[in-house]
Amino acid sequence: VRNCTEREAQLNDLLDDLLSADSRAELDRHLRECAGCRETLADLRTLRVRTSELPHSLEPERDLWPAIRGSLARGRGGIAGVLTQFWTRTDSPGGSPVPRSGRILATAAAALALLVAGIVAIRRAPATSGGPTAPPPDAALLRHIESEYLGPTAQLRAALDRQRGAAPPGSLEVLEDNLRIVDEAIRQVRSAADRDPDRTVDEQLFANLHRTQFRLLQQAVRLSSQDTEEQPI
Amino acid sequence: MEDLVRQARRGDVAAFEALYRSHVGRVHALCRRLGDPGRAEEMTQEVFVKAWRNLGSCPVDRPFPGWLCRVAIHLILTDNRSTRRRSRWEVSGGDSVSQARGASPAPTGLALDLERAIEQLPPGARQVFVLHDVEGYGHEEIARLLGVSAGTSKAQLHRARRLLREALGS
Repeated sequence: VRNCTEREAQLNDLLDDLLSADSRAELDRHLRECAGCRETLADLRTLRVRTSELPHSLEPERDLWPAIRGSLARGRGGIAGVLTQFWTRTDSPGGSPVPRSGRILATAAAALALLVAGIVAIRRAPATSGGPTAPPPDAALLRHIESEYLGPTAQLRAALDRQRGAAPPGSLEVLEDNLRIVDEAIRQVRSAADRDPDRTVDEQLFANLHRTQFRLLQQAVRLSSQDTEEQPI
Repeated sequence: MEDLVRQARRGDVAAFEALYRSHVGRVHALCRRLGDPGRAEEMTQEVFVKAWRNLGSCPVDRPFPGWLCRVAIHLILTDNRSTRRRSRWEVSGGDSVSQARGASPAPTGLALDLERAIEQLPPGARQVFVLHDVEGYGHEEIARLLGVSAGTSKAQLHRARRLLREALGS
């Protein structure tokens, strides 16, 4: 015969529907005779009801998005700062040193190195030649570069979406992190070209960005395919 | 929702903001109940930054909210462990609801009474109670998350319920 202190675990198991039929029948017999255990069970059920009524959502007292947004920019390797220097105004060939990123990821470093190389080339030209600044970007040429990569990258993205579920969690993390950096770089370059015709852009650099994007996607698809193939049959 | 996740995965910050707006309350609730309530907003921010960085591992065929909650739970539990190592903020030993962790505002109403009582549970009991009774996790999974046995998880749950019944006078 158990005392009522030892019944506490049984009462919890009853609440959680974890008792065997025999144990439940034995506990039911005890409950008919023990007011204390009946009260404990009632309390547990009340607690369960009150717990189920807790809100699933508790809004913070302030909007956290501005701080999160700032962290996202920093977390992407300070790309906005680098991209600022990807461009040069035709009336302002000088500039400050290229900032060092705190979070440049391995593969993205290649893309960023291309950006830096492009910046140097653009800035040196006016200083050494003393001639006119670079011509405005050829919008048709940029569109041509984009169109070359549009179909292949779309196919790779679709393949990656299909295969992503098969990849172990975290296996694509670095690649996709890098890919987001390059995607954002392309988006910002394109957006600035549309917005401000006074800026110049190195079309070779723009093509290099697309090429890097394509290669990252290729690597991600290859990685997720290998993961799928390695699954035991 | 799936479209927003796809867009965010490709670096679309506006899409990620939409995901944040839809889920911030859910994540903040988890941070408040499972972690240090005084750091709930800070942890909520960290969860979303981590989610952004790890979107690539979010399966496209599974619901985003569940994935996000798992990211939050892992981050909160990791933070709890490191915080305990640093400052020992939990009140160890005694089987009474602690009065030492008063980081939350004065409660009003039954639900807030319960919120306050949960916040003041000893950390081990609180984590298991929130994961089991509030979030619906089973003991096996809780045991894996917390690095304890399923039996310990069960014992902590019973302890938490006993302490809450006493605290609430129910």
